[in-house]
Amino acid sequence: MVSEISTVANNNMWLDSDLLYDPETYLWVRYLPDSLPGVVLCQIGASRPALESLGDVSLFHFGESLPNGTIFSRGDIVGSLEAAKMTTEVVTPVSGKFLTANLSVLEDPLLVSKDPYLYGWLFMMVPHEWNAEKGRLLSADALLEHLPDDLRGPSEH
Amino acid sequence: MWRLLYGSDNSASRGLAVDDALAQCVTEHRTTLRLYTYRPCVLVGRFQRINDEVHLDRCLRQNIPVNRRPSGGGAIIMGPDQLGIAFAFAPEIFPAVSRQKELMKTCSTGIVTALRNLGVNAQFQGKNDLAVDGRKIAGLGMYASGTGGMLFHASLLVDLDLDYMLDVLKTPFQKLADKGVKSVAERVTTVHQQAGAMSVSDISKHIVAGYEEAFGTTLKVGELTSQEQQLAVKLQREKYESEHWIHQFESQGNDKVGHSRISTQGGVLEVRAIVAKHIVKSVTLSGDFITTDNAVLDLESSLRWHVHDGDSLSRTIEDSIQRHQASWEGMPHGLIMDAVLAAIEATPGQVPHPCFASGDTL
Repeated sequence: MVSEISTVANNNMWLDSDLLYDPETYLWVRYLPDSLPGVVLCQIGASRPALESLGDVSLFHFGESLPNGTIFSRGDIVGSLEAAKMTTEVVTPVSGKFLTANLSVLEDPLLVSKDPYLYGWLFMMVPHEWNAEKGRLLSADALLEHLPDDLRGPSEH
Repeated sequence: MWRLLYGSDNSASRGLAVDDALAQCVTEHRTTLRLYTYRPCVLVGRFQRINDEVHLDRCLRQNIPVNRRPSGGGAIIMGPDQLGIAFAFAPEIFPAVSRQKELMKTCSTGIVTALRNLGVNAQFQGKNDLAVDGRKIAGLGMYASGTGGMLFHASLLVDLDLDYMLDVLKTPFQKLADKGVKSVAERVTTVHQQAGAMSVSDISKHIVAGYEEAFGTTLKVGELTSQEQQLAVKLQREKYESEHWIHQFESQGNDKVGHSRISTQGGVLEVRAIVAKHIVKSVTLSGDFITTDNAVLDLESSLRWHVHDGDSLSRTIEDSIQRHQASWEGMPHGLIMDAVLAAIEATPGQVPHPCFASGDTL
């Protein structure tokens, strides 16, 4: 089984070592302490193992209007998606204020599979409980240990 | 031991609310199979736009409620002759299945086993159907709730009133049926057609035995817990009776239709494609070309609910043609590929393909 953890952004890497991962959903979290003056942000997206499990994502839906400004707790449903064989709720791995969804992904959901760790991010939160919650997220190495064997690298077909 | 729930004559909102509550209350130690029927109603898939799928005016006139499932898939009619199967479980009960996309096929094996025991050879087909010789006998859907509980949905066609279905649903085959070519009747089948007439309750017993055999478990009749009961009442009132839930997506654009036509030594091939924004909803083949039904049905079902992505579409078409290579003899594979892609790309808003093709809005 080939696994690839990379610090260099590229479209095919399996896990990005700069990110933290939710062990339940395999969503990734990018902690951005300095993105805006005085504002800490978390960018959230779907990892390659999540996409390998779900299959092609064809639609993201955040309700009739985006929940921008809404306060969510970790585990709350923020949106839903349609994948190859199922519909599923998108739950936030981070508590805080929903800042925005990735409008490019809403327009073109295939972007998530094409570039999951960069342009295919899903939504952005202002974290409220980061210090308490970051310990519930895993590093890329730890996620790799946690994953079932056949999600530790790209499938061969 | 798993829990078994029976029900009949559910309203659309009650039937869906109970299934949703079962999924949300799943634990690793509580797995439920629910077999039930609805009062006549139409159920669309989670992300479908009702006006694209349903003749709403005709439903209103006949007092047929329309509702929205939490699970994906297409619009269906439900009633006393369609058995609803809901299977709520924690993914951990299938440790050998690491990819969620594989769970649907796993869950359907209980139905496949039951049908096999009735002498009916049903197989998983395309994205979300069970089919007998390429003809759909059950539609499948899957929903992962926010709590981690999974809900597998199936609608088993025990019997089917085709005229009624064509009256209320906008099927992709209607225009073709009008032209007297391959009709809906050739693409669906029922338990009655395959195994002879029997009651829904008798078929339910076979489904129970099928699940017990397929998963090596025992099913015991039970009831909803008070937590599930309360949640179902809340979900019925706040979600499944809410116009906001049922009629969402109405502001989005219509489905688009594209056509293409090619003439080859093997005959004329006409293709009709219906494309939603990012999804190829259906591709229908017709004409006087000669091939087996299975080759056509396999290609059509492979493309149903396919992501609209050129490379991936080409691979799927090629794979299907390869599976039935002998049946497509006389039809150059490249031309079949071109005709299908041309119809898909002829839908307004897509990049035109260099072939004889035209686009329309539904």
